[in-house]
Amino acid sequence: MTERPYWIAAGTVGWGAIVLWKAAELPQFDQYAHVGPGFMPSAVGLGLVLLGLMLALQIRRGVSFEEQSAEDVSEDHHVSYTALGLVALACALPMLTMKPLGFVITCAGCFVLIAAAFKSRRWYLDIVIGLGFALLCWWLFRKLGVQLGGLLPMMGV
Amino acid sequence: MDAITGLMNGFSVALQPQNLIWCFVGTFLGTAIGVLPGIGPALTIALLLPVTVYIEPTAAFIMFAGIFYGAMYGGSTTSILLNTPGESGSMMTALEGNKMARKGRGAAALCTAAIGSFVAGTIGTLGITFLAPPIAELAFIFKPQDYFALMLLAFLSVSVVMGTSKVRGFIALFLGLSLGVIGIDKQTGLQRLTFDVPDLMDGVEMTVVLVSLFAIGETLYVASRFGFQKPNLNPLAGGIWMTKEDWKRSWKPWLRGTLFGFPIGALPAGGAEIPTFLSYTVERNLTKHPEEFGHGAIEGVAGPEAANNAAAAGVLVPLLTLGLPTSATAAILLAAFQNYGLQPGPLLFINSADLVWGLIASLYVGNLMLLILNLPLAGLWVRLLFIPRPYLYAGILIFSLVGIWGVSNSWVDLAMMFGVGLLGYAMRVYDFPIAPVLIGLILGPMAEVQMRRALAVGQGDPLVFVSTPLSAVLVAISVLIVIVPAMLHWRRTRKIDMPDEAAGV
Amino acid sequence: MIKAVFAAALAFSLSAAAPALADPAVVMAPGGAGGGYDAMARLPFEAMSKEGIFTDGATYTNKGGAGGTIGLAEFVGANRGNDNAVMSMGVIMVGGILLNSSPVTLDDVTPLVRLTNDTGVVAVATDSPIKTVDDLVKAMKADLGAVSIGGGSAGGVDHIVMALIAKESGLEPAKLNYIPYDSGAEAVTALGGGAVTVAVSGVSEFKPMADAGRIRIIAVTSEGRVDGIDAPSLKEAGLNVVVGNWRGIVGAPDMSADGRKMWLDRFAKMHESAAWKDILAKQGWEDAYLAGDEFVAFLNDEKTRIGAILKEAGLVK
Repeated sequence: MTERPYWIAAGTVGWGAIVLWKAAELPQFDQYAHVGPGFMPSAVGLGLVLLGLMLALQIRRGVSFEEQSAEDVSEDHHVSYTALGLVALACALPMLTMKPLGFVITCAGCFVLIAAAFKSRRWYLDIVIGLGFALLCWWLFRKLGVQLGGLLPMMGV
Repeated sequence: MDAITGLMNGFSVALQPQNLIWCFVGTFLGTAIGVLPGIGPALTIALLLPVTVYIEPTAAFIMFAGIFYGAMYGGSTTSILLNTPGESGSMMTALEGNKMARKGRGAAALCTAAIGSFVAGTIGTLGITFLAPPIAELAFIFKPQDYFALMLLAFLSVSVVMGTSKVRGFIALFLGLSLGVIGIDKQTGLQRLTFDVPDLMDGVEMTVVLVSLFAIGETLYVASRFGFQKPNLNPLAGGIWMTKEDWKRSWKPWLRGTLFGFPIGALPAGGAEIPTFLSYTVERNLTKHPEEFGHGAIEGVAGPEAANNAAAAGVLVPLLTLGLPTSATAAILLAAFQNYGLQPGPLLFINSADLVWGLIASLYVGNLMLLILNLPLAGLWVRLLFIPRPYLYAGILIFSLVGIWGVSNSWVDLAMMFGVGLLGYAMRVYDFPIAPVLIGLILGPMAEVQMRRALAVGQGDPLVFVSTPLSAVLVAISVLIVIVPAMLHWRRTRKIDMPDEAAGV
Repeated sequence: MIKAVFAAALAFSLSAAAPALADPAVVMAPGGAGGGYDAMARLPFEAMSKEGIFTDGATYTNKGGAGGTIGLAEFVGANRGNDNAVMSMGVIMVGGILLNSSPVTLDDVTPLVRLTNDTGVVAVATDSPIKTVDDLVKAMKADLGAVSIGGGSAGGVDHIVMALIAKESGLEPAKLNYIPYDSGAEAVTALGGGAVTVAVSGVSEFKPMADAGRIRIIAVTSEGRVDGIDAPSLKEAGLNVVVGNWRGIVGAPDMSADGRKMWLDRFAKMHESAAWKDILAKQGWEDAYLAGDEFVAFLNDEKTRIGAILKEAGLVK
C-alpha cells in the first residue's frame, strides 16, 4: 500500500498532548512518595507524543501497513464501506436508543443492521429473529438479575 | 493426616447424589455463561447469590464451585473460536487460539484448553488441600516493591505481543496506559483526565475496553471485508481431537502455567492476568517452534489457559484460610459465606469442616465433570462457526451489550463501546497489535499504585525497589531480559556492519 | 471490576419478593450490590416486609461510583417530590460529596434516619514497638513521614480518623504519610507483613486477624470500649477523636411533610421489630438509630466537622 496515513500519527500526538495538558494540572510531586499523581499521566502523554512523531517519520519513509488477517475475510481485502457503515451504525445505535426505547428494541435494531451488513437480504426475517432473540436475552438476564432496564421505558414498562 | 481424613469426609459429602446434581448444575451454568463475552465467573456467581436463601449452604457452595471453575472453562471458548475474549484472563488464549481455529484446528485448541484447565484446576485444588496455609503466607510476605517488581516482569510480556512494528506496539501499550490513568487517583483523591464526566471517576471499565476492542472491532472489520464466500476453511479440518504431537507440546506448558497461576492467584493483588501474561511470554521463549507463534502455536493456548485456571484455584487459598477476599469472585463468595452467617478464616475449617471439605472435594469432582462435559463439547462448540455469519455477529453484539449495559447502565460506557470499537477496527486495518492496549490498561494502574506505595513507605528512596530479596531478584531478571537480547542484537548488527533500517520498523 | 460486578448483581428479591403490588417504594442504593449501601437499602425493607410494616414491595436500583455521589445525583434528578422514593447513604457520602466537589449535595434530599454504625479500629503489627496510642503519637511526633498509615480510600473515614489524631496531637493532618488500600484484605496483609506501620479499618474487617494474633488493635474510635476488643477508645487514651462509619436513609428532594412523617413512623416501628434486631445481629451492625430532626442536626454537624478536617488534610480546597 502506498497510503500515507499521517492522521494516525497526528491522532497519537494529539491524544498525547491532551494527556500532557491534563497531567500538567496535577501535582507532579508528593511529599513522601515524591512521585505524585501527575507523574504517570505526564510520562504517558510524553511517550505518546514521541511515539506519534516516530510514527510520522516512519510513514514519511513509506512504511507499509499490512492489514491483519481475520476469519472470513476475503483475500483481496476488498472493503465494503456500506457494510462498515451499517455495523458502525449498529454500534452507535445503543447510544441513541438504549435509554428512550429500551434494551429489546435497541438490540433488535442492532441485529437487523448487522445482519444487513453481512449481506442478509431477508430483513423481515431478521427483524423477527432479532426481536425474538433480544426479548429472550432481556427476559433471561433480567430473571438472573442483570439490570437491563424496562421493556419499553417510554411507556413506563 | 488431617487433610486426608478431611478430604475423605469431603468426598462423602460431595458425592451425595443431590450434591452431584448441584455440582453439575453449577458447572453447566458456569460453562454456558462463561462462554458469553463480557460475562465472567464473578458476575455469574453474583447473579446467583440470591439463591443462597433457598438452598442449604453445602449445596450452594458446591454449585458455586462448579460455576467458578465452569466459567473459567467457558471463557476460553469464544476467545478461541471468535477472537472475542469475555474476560481479561482469557485474552492471551485468544492470541494463539484464534489463529489455530482459523487453521481448522479450533477443536484441538479447545481440547488443550480444557485439559490444561483440568490439570491446572486439579493441581490447584491439590494445592488448596495440602499447601493452603503456607501459600496463604505469601500474602504477608509480598510488599509493594515485590508487587511492583512482579508487574515489571509482567510488562515484559508486551515485547512478545508487539507484532511487526515496535513503534506501533508501543503506541498500543501507551494508549492502554493512558486509558488506565483516567479516573480518581486512589492515592490522593484527585481526578485525572476525567473531563468532569462523573461516569469516568471510577476509571475506564476494563471489560468495556476488552469487549469493544476485540468483539466490536472484529465485527466491524469482518463485516467490511466479508467476501460472501462460505468460510474458506472447514472449521473441523484439523480434526476434533488433539494429535500426539499436540499432547507432547502441551503438557509442559500446562504445568508451567499452573506454577505461575496458583501462587500469583493467591496474592491479594495478584489476579489472573499477570500469570497468563507471564505464561505466554515464557512459552514463547521456550518453544521449539518459534515460527508458529503468532500463527497458532498450541503452547500459547495451553500455558495461559492453565495459568488462568490455576489462578482461580489460588484465589480460594486466602479466602478459605484467612478469610481474605482477593478478587471480585472471592469477594462475592465471601458475601455468600456471610449470607449463611459463616466467617471464612482459620476457624471455618474447625467450625464448618463438612462444608469446607465438601467444597474442596467438589472442586475435584467439578473439575472432572467439566472435563467430561467439555471434551465432547469441543467438537460441538466448533460448530458454532457454522452459524450463518449475519446472525453470529449480530448475536455477539447483543451479548456484548448485555455485558456492557447490564453492568453499568451508563451511557458513557455505550459511547465508549462505539469509540473503542472503531479504534479496534482502525488498529486491525493499520496493523496495530491489540493485546498491548489491554496489558497497559490492566498492569499500568496496578504498577503505578504499587510503585507509589513502595516509594511512600520508603519516603522517596528509589532503592526501596530492590530492598527485599524477592524484589531485587525480580528486578534483576527484568533488567537482564531487556538488556541481554538488546546487546546480542547490537553485537550482531555491528558485525554485519550494516544499518538495519527494517529492524525498527 | 469489583464494583462493576456488584453493580450488576441486582438481587433476586426484585423478582422474588415483589409479586406486583401497589406502588412499590423506589429505593436507590448508591453502591454496588453486596456492598454497605446496598445492604442498607435492602435489609430495612426486608424487615419491614417481614413485620408487615410496609408490604408494598420495593424496586431497587444500584448505582455505584465516586463515593456514592453518582447514585445521589441520579436519585435527586429522578425523584423530586416523590414521597415514595428513598435512598441509603452514610458518612462516606458526606465526605465523597466534598472530595469530588459533587454539584448535588445532601442539602438536596430529605434526611430521615441514621440506622447503624461501624466502629473503626487503629491497629499495628503484633511485633511493632508501638503498643499504645501514646507510643503512636510519640512516633508520629518524632518523624511523621516514617509512620506509614494504611487504610481505605483517601479522604474516607479511616483517613479522617488519622487526620483527627494528628490534629489532636498538634501535628499537621496534611503531612500524614497515608497510603490508601482498595480493600480491608489488602490493608490487613500489608499491616501484618510490616509494609505499613499502622492501619485503620472497621472492627469487622480487623477483628478476625487480631484474634488470630496477626495484628494488634491499639484503639477503637467509638466513645467507649467495644465488647471483645482489649483496647481503649481514642477518647480514653486522651485524644478527643470519635468517628463512626454510620449509615442511614434519606428521602427524595422536596418530600412532603406527610411523606416524611409516614417514613419516620415506619422506620420507628421497624427499629423496634424483632426482624430488624435479627438483621443487626446477623450483619454485625451496631444499632445507631437516630431519627428526624435529631438526625438532621447530627448530619449538619458531620458536614461541618468532616469538611473542616478534609480541608486541614489538604484534600478539599
